[in-house]
Amino acid sequence: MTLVSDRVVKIVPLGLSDAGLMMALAGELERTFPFSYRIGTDEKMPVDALDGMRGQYHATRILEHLVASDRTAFRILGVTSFDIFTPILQYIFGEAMLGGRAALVSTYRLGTVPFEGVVPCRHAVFVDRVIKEGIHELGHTFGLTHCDDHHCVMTASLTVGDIDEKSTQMCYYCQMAFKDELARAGIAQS
Amino acid sequence: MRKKFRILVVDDEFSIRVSLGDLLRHDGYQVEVAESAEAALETLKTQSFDLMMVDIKMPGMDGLEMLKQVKENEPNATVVMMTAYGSIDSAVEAMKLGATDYVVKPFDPVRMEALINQVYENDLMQRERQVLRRQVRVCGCYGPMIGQSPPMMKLFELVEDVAATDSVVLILGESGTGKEVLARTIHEKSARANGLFVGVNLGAFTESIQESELFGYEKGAFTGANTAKKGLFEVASGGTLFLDEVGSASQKMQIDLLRVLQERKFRRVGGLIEQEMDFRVMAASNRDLEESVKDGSFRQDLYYRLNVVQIHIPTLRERREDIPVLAKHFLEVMRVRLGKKISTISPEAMECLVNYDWPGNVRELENAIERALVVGKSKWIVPEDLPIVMKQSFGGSADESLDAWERDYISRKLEQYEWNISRTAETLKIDRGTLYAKIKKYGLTSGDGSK
Ligand SMILES: [Zn+2]
Ligand SMILES: [Zn+2]
Repeated sequence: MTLVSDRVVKIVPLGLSDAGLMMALAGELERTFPFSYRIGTDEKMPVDALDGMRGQYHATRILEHLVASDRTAFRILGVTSFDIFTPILQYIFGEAMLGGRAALVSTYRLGTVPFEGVVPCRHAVFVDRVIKEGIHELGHTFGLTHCDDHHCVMTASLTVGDIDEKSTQMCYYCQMAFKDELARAGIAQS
Repeated sequence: MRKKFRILVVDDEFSIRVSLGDLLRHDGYQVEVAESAEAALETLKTQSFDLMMVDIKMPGMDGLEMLKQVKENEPNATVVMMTAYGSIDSAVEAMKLGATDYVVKPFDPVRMEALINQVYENDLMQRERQVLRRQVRVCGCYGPMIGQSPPMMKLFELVEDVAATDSVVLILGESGTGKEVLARTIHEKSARANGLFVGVNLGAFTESIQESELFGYEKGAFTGANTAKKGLFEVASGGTLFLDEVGSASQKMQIDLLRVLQERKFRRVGGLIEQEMDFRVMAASNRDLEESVKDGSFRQDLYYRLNVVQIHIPTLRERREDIPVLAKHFLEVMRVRLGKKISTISPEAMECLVNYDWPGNVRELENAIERALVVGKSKWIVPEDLPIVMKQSFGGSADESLDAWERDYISRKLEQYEWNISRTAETLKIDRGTLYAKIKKYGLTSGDGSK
């Protein structure tokens, strides 16, 4: 796929400084979504997003914060090391505005061995999961919904095991839907 | 991108409506929200849903009362109750009242996914069963293309021309005009006449069976695929694949079809070997596909691929002069099949037939003749043997025939939707209360006694 260089996707680390992880993420995102990537400086978590009762951050508030923080970026992907939630679910790995501008991934629950809650996994596995969830959430901002194909990156993952099972690639249908979306938005791939 | 599945979320808490709504939309479902049971019941008057997720504790009418009312109207409705920690008692009460399940807020994502999938799959299975039944019922053929009117003569010329080519053909026409008959006729006159004519109704297809039906699959491609199976693409090899009601194809199916038409190759699900496409494609639709392209429900690129040669079949009322010859043809065929002595149509009855508007086209005419033969007691078909709507054009009180027409129409729609009250009401564009009243008024009952 050729690059659409005038569209900038900004990656924003939130309470997390891991330059290597951000670089790896940007590199993989570019292979799926042909835009330019810029890695922002580490920002603090927005205080008003913290739910004291649940001890977790409200993902929707963080998305609103990201959108307000940058009015020009084509898309904004936040990456946080804190635990996030939406009111209806006990936990989530990420959240995005469907067809919107902002997406968010939390690394909080991505670093363990499946079914062994506390046993840390290998670093390479952790990085792989962050990449898959990053692609997945960014995919939602292009209007893509969950896919039935368990190898497709757009399949919904509820456990780290689910993430490990899927690939970093979109299936044929999701690729078509992404291309359709670009065409609808009038973005030509030059 | 998978589902035409509609979910209604009912919760007084704003943050729950938003987050649950978003979650379900990310799964590709169509979601409506209501902030109270009262508002939800109001919505239900005009819309129907495949699943309702209802909070138990709400100010005003609570979830249990709403569940009761929903179930009274529609015993088959799928309702999942939502409760907060510590109110399990009312959840149990809800199960007794017919709730499908209950979930505790905030949901465990794994449990939530399993629950929705189960509801979704149950619904699919039900629809598949309906599809099978429908296919058995509809397979009656309504005779070859017959007519001497100018529009039909033009059509026959076109058929000859088209049969000599191998182009994709798009056949448009109201339901009952004989689109499949026309496709068959072209096939039989074409160089592919020795191959099979494989017809598939995409409107009756549900998504889960589509892909494997069309492409076939290899052993082990998915759970339940214990042996390899040829898909319709392979079965049609050397012949013609007829895609009926192509306008109802899901987005996914549209992509599948586009891909095959573009690449002229396909693979079985779970298979590695690419096979060449060796069949002619004909598609049919009773909708205005250009309209569907405009509103985004049908892919433009696929439309261009299908719309190589377009054939429009005229309605029966556009060629009234053909009605006598068609009526006589059906009378001949059916008289033998039913073993009846009736061999002519009285002039009065024929006048009724010619003046009637035939919204169901040739198929409706065929049904009318068959019915007349079954009920007829004299030596020829008289107006009394015809459905009342047709006699309207001849005589009889207008009110009476209007009622009869309505009774007939509603009863047909109910059969078509397997007595699903919500869906029938939706297509009739009346609310369910009105539909119940009409059912009572006309004393309608479901034919096979189910539901
Ligand atoms: Zn997702
Ligand atoms: Zn996919």
